[in-house]
Amino acid sequence: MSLSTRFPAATAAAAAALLLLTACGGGSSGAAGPSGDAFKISFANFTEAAPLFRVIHTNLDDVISRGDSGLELKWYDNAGDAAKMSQNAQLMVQDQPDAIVVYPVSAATQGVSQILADGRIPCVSVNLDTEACDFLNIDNRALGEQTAEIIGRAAAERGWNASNTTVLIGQNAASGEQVNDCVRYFYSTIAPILGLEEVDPTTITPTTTTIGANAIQFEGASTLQPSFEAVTNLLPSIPAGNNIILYTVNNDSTTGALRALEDAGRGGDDVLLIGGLGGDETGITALREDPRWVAEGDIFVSWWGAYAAAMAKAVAEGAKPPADVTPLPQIVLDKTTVDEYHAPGSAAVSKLPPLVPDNEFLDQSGVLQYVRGVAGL
Amino acid sequence: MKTTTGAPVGDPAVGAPGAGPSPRRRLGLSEGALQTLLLFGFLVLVAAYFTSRDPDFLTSRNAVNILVNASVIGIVSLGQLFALVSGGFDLSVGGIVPLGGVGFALLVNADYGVLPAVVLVLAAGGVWGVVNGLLIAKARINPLIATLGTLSVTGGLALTLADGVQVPFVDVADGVLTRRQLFDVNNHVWIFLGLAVVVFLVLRYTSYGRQLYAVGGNKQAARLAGIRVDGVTVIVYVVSGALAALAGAVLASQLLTGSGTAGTNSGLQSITAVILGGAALSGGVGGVPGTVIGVLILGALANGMAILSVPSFYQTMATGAVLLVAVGISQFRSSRRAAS
Repeated sequence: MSLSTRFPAATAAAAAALLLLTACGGGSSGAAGPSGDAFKISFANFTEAAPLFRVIHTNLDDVISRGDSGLELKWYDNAGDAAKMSQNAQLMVQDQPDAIVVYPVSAATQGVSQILADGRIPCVSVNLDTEACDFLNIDNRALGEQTAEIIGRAAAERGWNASNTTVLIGQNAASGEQVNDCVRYFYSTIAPILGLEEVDPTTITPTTTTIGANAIQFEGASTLQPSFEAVTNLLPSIPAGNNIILYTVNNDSTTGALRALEDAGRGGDDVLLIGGLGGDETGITALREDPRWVAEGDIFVSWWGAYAAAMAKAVAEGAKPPADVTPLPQIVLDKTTVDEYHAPGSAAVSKLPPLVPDNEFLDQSGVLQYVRGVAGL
Repeated sequence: MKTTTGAPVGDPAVGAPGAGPSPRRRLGLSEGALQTLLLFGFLVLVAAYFTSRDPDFLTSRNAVNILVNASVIGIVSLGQLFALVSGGFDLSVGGIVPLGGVGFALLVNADYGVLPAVVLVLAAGGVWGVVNGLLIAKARINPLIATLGTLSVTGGLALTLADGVQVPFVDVADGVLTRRQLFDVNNHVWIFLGLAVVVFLVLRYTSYGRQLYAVGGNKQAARLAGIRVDGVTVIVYVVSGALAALAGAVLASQLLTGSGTAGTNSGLQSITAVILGGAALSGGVGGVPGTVIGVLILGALANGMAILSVPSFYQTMATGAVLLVAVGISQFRSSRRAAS
């Protein structure tokens, strides 16, 4: 091909790429117009491609459109990709908004942290810590502990103890220590209730496979298939006739593990108790309908955007978060409380938990008032 | 220039001139048969080791556990065997497996019925195989690039069809593909074993099988011998795509859910199993017995390490080490063949 034919082709390709990049850039939404007194937030979402995360964006847009929240949002899509996250951090700093919200795609946030620190713009990091930002997250430890209390009570009522029970916990090592706090503190809480060997939860690490004589930790990678395969492979390690308590870092992993137990004939109503985590349709439906599913850690992911925007505004206006980690809304539901927070017969959220001392300052921003159903606001 | 081989499994017996008959020749074994025996011996050693450490490993129930996990990747590996024997490989299975799973879940949820859903999923996998085959045979795109491209497209399509979430079966009775029935063994295990027999017969006793080994051994020589190389190549990827899609349907039945992320590692896993089973990256070599044993070795290693409570990080390292050893041996054998 000659240079003369290659040049227009290269130009066209470059133009198309530019157009594509422009089209894929941040979208904006806001009630106060493009300028004026609006409080400008640049918000990089984990990904816009998956409904679980997309709804963080759409629900926050819904909050903004509901009244004069005074927010103007510019959206970026981290696309689940660390390189894109870093690129977006630079673009957001370049925007010079009043505050930045970032939902990191991995725990490796040092590079992004440096960019945000250099930008000297107040920022909030959601779910994964970014050193330069204030941190908004669920309390995985509390989720594990509260779930363990509910399941522990149910198991103790059935006479389950160290002589007849195996606890199966599913981790996701790649997600880091914070995420896996839920499973290790689950075990440390349920152990004394059932008389199992007590261990310091900090000694339960990603390489831990057995905990005392009654617990097994498997790597489920937060997904269905690896959890199914891992539990299928360790079935011979679960003493025949033992009751099983199953808890993992999310409902996908729990569902995969549950399928393996059912497939092996170890999933009967009388021999299995499950604690879910996520508050998604799978968990809420199972909590209502499945007698084995007795607790569900509900973390209201779809509203994280609104809480993050509220925190970004509050921090930029001078509020000092009282704790290192500002808690997102969360509650562990059981069969008697599920309909309080989810419309009966549906997984749709009907109410959010009240603010607690460590996140009460969020109401100063005037954003959460536009989120329907936060108790007390 | 590569040597041309027409032998279905491994090369014809070769030995150093003037060195006298080798032990293999004295036993009357082809190189392929000897290799399969050695592999089987290795599988026995693996089983013996894990049994010595934990007797729970060697139980009929645990054997079924191993087969349950290995059969999905086994079905993919049978298709991958075609690709490797032809001198290529098929990375797109990592996208076609989840696509098949999501498609199957959507179809059974739409009341198509299990059998029609399986047929449609097979057809869809076959269509993607045609795309791969044409890209490789007609457009002369390297199999690595062509199947890497379709891996991305099919993987993205699976996520799009599923809308990024899981697609649970509305009726759990649709999970019949993996239900335990005959001899209390899951149906998909029988499907895998049945397919292994069919593929064995095709590769061993049909003219297509002989043409495939000839094409993999030396494309130019095969073309000069009158073999329609492009047609043979397209069929390779149709088979691989269809079997990958079937594996996706099986996986979805196993999980009672179609997932855009389930089976994404099947490309690497199936290549590992087939190479471990004696196939050569250079093509023209490989067979069903070795592939089945390769799949079982990987399954037994994963199962045994789980029973012995080996942390998952080390399990990943062990699988990688097995791949490296298998590729090393494959390269060594290729060099030896070239030298002879």
